[in-house]
Amino acid sequence: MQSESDILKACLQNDRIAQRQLYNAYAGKMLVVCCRYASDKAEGEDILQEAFIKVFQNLKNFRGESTLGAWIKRIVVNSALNHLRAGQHWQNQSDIEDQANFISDEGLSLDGIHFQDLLNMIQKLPKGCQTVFNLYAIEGYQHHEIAEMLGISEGTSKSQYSRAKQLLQAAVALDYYPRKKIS
Amino acid sequence: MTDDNKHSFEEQWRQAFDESSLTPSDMVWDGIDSQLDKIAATPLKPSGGGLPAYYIGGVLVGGILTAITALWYFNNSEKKEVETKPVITKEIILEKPVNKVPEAPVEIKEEQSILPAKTQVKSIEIEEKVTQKLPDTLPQLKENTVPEDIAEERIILDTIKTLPISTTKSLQVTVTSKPEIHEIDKTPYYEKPKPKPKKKSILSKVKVSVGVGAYQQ
Repeated sequence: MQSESDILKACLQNDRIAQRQLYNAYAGKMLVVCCRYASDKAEGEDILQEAFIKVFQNLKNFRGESTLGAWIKRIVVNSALNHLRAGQHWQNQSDIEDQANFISDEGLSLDGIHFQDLLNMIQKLPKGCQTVFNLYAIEGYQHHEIAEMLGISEGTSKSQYSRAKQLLQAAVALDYYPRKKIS
Repeated sequence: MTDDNKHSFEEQWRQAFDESSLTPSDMVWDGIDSQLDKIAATPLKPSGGGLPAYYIGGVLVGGILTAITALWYFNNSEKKEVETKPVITKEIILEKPVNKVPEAPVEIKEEQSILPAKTQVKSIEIEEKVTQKLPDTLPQLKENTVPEDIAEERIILDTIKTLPISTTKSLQVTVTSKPEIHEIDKTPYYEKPKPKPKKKSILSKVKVSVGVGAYQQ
């Protein structure tokens, strides 16, 4: 079995078999990332295709400063954001003041919930909320970084995240804890 | 909501997707494969600002050739300017024939040539082949034969007097003076205007003949 560095060298020579091997190694995980930003799997696959073409085109720029998986994931996330920008999903993203019906996540656990169900919950979020939630909660970016990436204010990023959290908590509580009283 | 709760909320979502994976359809790889083929088929753009290398090379070579041509042209034109300045060098050769009669005038040969110099150089060669003592009348003759308008030549002739008769040295004297510029020399490419040919009348080559003819059927 070839090592990752051997596959990388072969990919740089435009070896299609090696490119396929690299794709097979990372496509599954990266499709989940794409689907978190998309509305459904088909849109996620479109983003994945764009992202992997960029990966193969820019593989010569990979310096090994991070793991190959982290480098590919950055390209996938950027491709997803470009896809959303192209679809003009960033129109009229404004602060959400209404934070009533806040649900405490105290005692709310995601254990036992399949990731596919969680993915469906995220895909049902409004686009702004969905993207900010992905970037902040899962990718680990800060609000000022998200504001810069999306061209919105930091306050908007925060309010979008709060709204996303609220909606997800409600979804989890209603779908998996229907008997538990929502405070 | 406490910070611990925040952390736990995000951490739970992160962990839920940490090792998750989905199987993409075969269409995705097919699309990637065809796109990579297209990219491989298209020629790569040059890295230097989008312009092709042969274009940049052509421009550079053209620029260098233009610069060399311009330098060569201006250098030549400067030389021409210097060359076209007429400087008259008069070379006066005084010959003293041995067996000639003392009354014979000293020959003065004047040669005019154009040299590329800003100063006029007058060289006078005196060939003294005289072994006999010249008569006393020679200076007077010399003075008479030297043109009066050139004062410098007089000075030279004065120096000749002081030379001993038996010397065989040739004296070279350089005198700087303003060149004699004639009207014709002011313009280097001056040509005398040719007389315009007289215009012939239009009818000069027209011949008029009158005759009588009859058509034959």
